[in-house]
Formats: sequence, C-alpha cells, structure tokens
Amino acid sequence: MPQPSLTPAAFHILLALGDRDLHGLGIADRVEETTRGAVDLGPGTLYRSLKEMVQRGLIRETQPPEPDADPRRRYYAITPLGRRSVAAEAARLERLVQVARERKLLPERA
Amino acid sequence: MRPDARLFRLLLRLYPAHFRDEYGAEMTEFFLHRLDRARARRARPALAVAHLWARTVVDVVRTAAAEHGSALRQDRPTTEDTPMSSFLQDLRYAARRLELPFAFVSRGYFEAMGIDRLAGRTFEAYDRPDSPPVIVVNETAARMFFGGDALGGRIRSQGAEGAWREVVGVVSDVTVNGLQEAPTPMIYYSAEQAGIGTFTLVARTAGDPATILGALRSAFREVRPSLPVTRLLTLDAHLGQSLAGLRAAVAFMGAFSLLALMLASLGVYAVVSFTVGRRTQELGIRVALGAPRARIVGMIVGESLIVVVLGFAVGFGLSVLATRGLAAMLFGVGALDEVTFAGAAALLLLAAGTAAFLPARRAAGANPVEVLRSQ
Repeated sequence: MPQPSLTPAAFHILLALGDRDLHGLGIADRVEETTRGAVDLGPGTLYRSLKEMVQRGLIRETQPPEPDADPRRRYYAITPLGRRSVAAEAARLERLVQVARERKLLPERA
Repeated sequence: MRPDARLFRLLLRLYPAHFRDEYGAEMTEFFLHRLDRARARRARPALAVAHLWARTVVDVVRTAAAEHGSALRQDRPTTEDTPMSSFLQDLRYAARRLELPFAFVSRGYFEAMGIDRLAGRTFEAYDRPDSPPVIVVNETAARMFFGGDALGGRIRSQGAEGAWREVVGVVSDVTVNGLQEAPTPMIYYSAEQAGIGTFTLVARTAGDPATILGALRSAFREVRPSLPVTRLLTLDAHLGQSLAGLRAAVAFMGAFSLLALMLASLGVYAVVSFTVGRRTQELGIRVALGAPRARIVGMIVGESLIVVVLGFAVGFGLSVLATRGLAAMLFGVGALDEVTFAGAAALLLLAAGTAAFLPARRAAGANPVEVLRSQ
C-alpha cells in the first residue's frame, strides 16, 4: 500500500504522538520543544491538521490519560497507519542525510 | 470574556461553521495560552504579543481558506450529521456486513416529503412493535446490495442480536446532508415499530407553510401543554440554512457573469459596427452602381452574423470544458443548461445584428455621391 504523503505539520504531530497521547496544546508544546522553537504550529494549522489526520486514519481521538483532565480537551493517539507513515518519512529523511554526508555537506558523525 | 478572546473569536468566524463548532473552543484556549506566555516574556513582551497576533492572523486566514476549499470539494460536507451503523445482510448461506446511514421515520413520512414509492409498500398502521420487523430501503441501496430487487431481502443490525428485518418497500433517493451529495444508500426503520420518542415532525401544507407554523404550535400545546417543541421552521428555511453560504458565493458569481456577458455584448457591438463602418465607401459604390438597398443591408448583416456564429461555436466548445468543474455545484440545472446557453447566444447575436444593421442601413440609405466625397 502506498504511504500517503505527509505535510511537515503532520510529520511533527506524528513525532510528538510517538510515545504518548497528547491534546492539541500539548502537541504544539512538544513540537516546539523538540525542534527548539524552530517549528511553531499556529492554531489553524494545528487543528486543521488534526482534523485531516483523523480523517485519513493517521491518528485517532482517545481517552485522556488522567481522569481529571479538562474534559474540553481532546486527546489524540497515533494509529498503526500513522506509525508506518512517520517511519517511512523518517527513513526518507535519513537517506537524504546519508547523501549529504557522502557529498561532504555534513560532518561525519556516528 | 477577555477582549483578546473576543478578538480571536471574531477571527474564528472566517472558518466554515462546522469547523468553528468543532475546534473553536480549543483553538481559543490554545491562543490565550500562547498569549499569556508571550506576555510573561522578560524581554519586550509587547513585541512578542504583536508578533504572535501577526503570525496567528496569517495562520488563520490561510487555513480558513484551505478549509473552505476542501468543504466545497467534498461530495458530502456534513457526513457526521447522519448516523451510520453496521448491518448484516442475509445472503441465505452467509451474511454480509454493510455500513449504512439509517433513519427512523413514521407512517406518511414518504408521502409528506414527496419521496416516491418505487416498489412494495411504505410503513402502515399494522407495523407495530409486535408485528414482523420491516424496513424500507432507497433506490441506491436496492441497487447496490440487492441487485435492484430488494423486496423480501433481509437485514439486521449487527450490534444487537436483533431479529432479521424484511425489506417491504423501495423509495426514491433523497439527498440527506445538503444538495451537493451523490445519492447514497439509505435504510428506513419504522419509528412506530421501534418506539422512538424524539422526532422531527414533517407536515405538508396546502397554502403558505409559514402561516401554518403558529397554528401548529398552538395545536401541540392543546394536545399536551408539556410537549416540548424545540424548532419549528419551513422546509425552505431549513434548506436555506444548508445553502446560505453557497448561495452567497453563487450570487457573486452570477453577478460577475452577467457583467462579463454585458461587456462581451458591448465588445461584439463595437467590433462589428466598426468593421461595417469601414466599409461605408464600398457600400456607397455598390449603391451608386444600382444595388438594391435592402440587399446591401441583408448582405452586411448576414456576413457579420456568420463571424459571430463561428465565434459562438468556438465559445460553446470552451464553455463545455469550463462548466465541467461547475457541475458539482449545480442542482436542478444541468451544467449545460439549454436556456442559459441559448439566452447568452441570443443576446450576443442580437448585439452583433444590431451593430451590423444600423451602420449598414445608414450607409445604404445615404446619398452615394456624398458618401464617396466624404471619404
């Protein structure tokens, strides 16, 4: 099955949901943290991406991890399809990094 | 409410209503959280706040435009509204799982809504909770799942271990979620048989339905004062709600198209009358040589119209291509509506005909000697 293409926002959202379920604000905070502020998802981009990713089956809504969480906040979890998609995208980026190393554009590092 | 929140809510109005309803509250919370964080900055908080507002406005405008675009593209903009359920179809030796939208309707529903009965029967007074369970399916469901002949077919709900329900009737398709959708399969349960408590009452009226609404409400009150009636409106008003956005967009498009048609007519008029005007000298010579005036006018008008008809043929071909994309947004009118096309063609022909006729008659009617001298 061909993997659906991922927008940069979708890729970062899937990375953020890789090992825990989060709500919208939590996802944006984590993306900001892992990219050291380089990626700052706006509210429109974030929630529109979430909506589309639920429709495409990359993520799904889930129960809040702790029962006393704010009930207005919806939590999201990555699906198996989401895992395969983010893995394919990461592998693609890894190949590109490899090419950059071979062409001496990046310092060699283990 | 905080003024920031109010301002942000205003910005959210750019999104389609369904998106705003679903995500508006969370987006507001998200934005206020970011705003508080920007204010708490030690270095130049005012600048951080301004920066955040600017980024957010761009983000919202961009994604709202994209969201409107995708809502127009989707065949069924509000799929969430119709309940879907899993059903099993009895195939005699096996069962097949179906995902179908369904609705509970009462006796007389199909008649009131003007939905045609195509085969079998609709619900009757003898469809009671203790009588054999029955369903009615629409045309598309009959075709997709029963090969066209649905009567006697059996379906049951997958979740509960309910009894098999027999298809007793087939009715014509209707669009459920707005007029743009393609026909979808649909199952109707008898509300009386299932004992449904909350429902929408559909009433067909002889006169103006708006005048009946008040009478209906007081009739309900008379029957049972405690009966809550939540929404009372005409079908036109109900449809208007689902069409309001599209209607505004189409009105704009219509206005611009009319303007374009007027400009095209003016253009055709100007070109043709200029071309004919340049032949004034030639016409003068023909008249001087004894050509009948009526024939000259006829020749000029005829020649001009040939060019316009050729132009129309080319334009027709191009509009057939252009209207393909429009077909999804039209209901009741085909993308190639004869009246529309004929009307546009007639207007352009009229413009060209007038443009050719007036100068031709003037040239043919003038004194040939003066015409020749003036050139």
